[in-house]
Amino acid sequence: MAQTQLEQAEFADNPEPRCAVVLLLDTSGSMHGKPIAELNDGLKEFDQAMRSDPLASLRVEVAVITFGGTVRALNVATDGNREISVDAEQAFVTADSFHPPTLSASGETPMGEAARRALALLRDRKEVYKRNGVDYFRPWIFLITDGNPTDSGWEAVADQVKTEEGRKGALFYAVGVENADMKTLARFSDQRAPLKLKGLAFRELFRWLSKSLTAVAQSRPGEQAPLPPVGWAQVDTSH
Amino acid sequence: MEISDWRLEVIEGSFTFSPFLLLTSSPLRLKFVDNSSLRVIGASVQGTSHLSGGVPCQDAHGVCQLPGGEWLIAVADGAGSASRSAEGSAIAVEQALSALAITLQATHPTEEAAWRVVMSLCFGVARDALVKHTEQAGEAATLRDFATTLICAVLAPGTLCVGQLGDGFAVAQNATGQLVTAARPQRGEYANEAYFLTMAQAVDLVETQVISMDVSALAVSTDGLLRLALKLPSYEPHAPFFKPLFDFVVSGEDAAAAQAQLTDFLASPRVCARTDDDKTLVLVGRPAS
Repeated sequence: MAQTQLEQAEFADNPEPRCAVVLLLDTSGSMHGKPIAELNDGLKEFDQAMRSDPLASLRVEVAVITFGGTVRALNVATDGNREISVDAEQAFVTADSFHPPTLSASGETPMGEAARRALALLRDRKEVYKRNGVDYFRPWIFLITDGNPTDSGWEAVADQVKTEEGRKGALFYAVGVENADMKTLARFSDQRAPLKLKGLAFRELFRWLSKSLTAVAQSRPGEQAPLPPVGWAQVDTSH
Repeated sequence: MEISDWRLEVIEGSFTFSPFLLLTSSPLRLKFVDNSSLRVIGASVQGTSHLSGGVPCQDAHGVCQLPGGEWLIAVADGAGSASRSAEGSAIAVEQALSALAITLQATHPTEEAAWRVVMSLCFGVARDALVKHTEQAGEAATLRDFATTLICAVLAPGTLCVGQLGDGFAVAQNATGQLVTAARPQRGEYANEAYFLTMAQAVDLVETQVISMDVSALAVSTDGLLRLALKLPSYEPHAPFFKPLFDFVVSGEDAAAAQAQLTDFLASPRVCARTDDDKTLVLVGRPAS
């Protein structure tokens, strides 16, 4: 009950339509060292870039789910580093109140479980919007990984992501870092191929994400927002 | 105005309706129609975001009364994302009213199914006019450039019929002062999804409501006023918004002053603080006898 009232207060205070994005970040052991440091810098860049647009920062809602050993949601509404339950009422914060986490890397890569939680989180978040009479845009799942799923059953989750995207329930973007298996990532979407990050250009990647979400969050009825060019991705010549 | 002043012209298969098709051009379209039984005021006002961006008012509205006494109201909201939607909304209103006027002088629907046919025809004529206008506009133009919503209301004795395509809305008041939402906005799931007359399946998407009631007042509006006028997500009318407006439409003696007041209201800071979009409001009221 108290939660519902808080939720009402949140939407009364900011009735802007929402564009939810789940950042699904690989924090497994292989990301240790430079990759995770660059990813952390990228998240800070994302925070700064989102704040530069006052309207988009009220419309874009961010949740951070990490998968390194276990799947965790981070409390990005406060300091960004505390784990909270993967719950649609708590996991999201509008970009104007986002606190970029400082991630560390260890453990295996339960990517399937992470994607499954992200799908559920977005479905539940839409229910929160509907309950509160708030309009919303098609939400995004933005996956960044340097590895391969280590959990069993990820293929079934990949199919669920495809189905959800096919029925226009969400947009799925996958970014592969360094030695990520691009063929595995391609299993998650029929709509677009995964992109390979140029080196560790996380800052460029997150600037692009900020610009793209800003464009979507300001698109008008009947309009498909054109996304900026992907300068941070490698041209894939492998196939 | 005398009923004998009505004249209908058909030119090359498309309808032109004169002289009392009450439609003026952007950025501000408004006309006052006074009549012994009903008062009608309408205004379309440019939104603040359009003002600052140099975009014209893309809303349009029109009102007319048939010799049989029925009132016809059409309101259209040209898409902000379409380059020539101000033309689209004006054409849609004009053509929809013309089609309704001609049809409803030839036939008087009593069954709900018959009203649906009339509304389908009306939206079909309006859509065809946009297609034709696109063809005449040259190769660079596409139908999508003229994207607009459309909502049409027919106020006949004992019956209100509303055809709806898009995110406008209509609220009616009955003789005992009860408010009902006669047309609620049609929405896709997402905020940037919308229904427009230019879509291929537009005519099939039209929702027609036939309500048996003695209407004492009616408001037809575009989505610019949605958040002030309806409670979300239930779409129930917000009485503190409508009651003063319905009192206002029947109270004024001076038509020009009433027009100016409605326009001022729609352009007022307290309305603009809630919406930066174009907004249209057509008010119909029956003075207490």
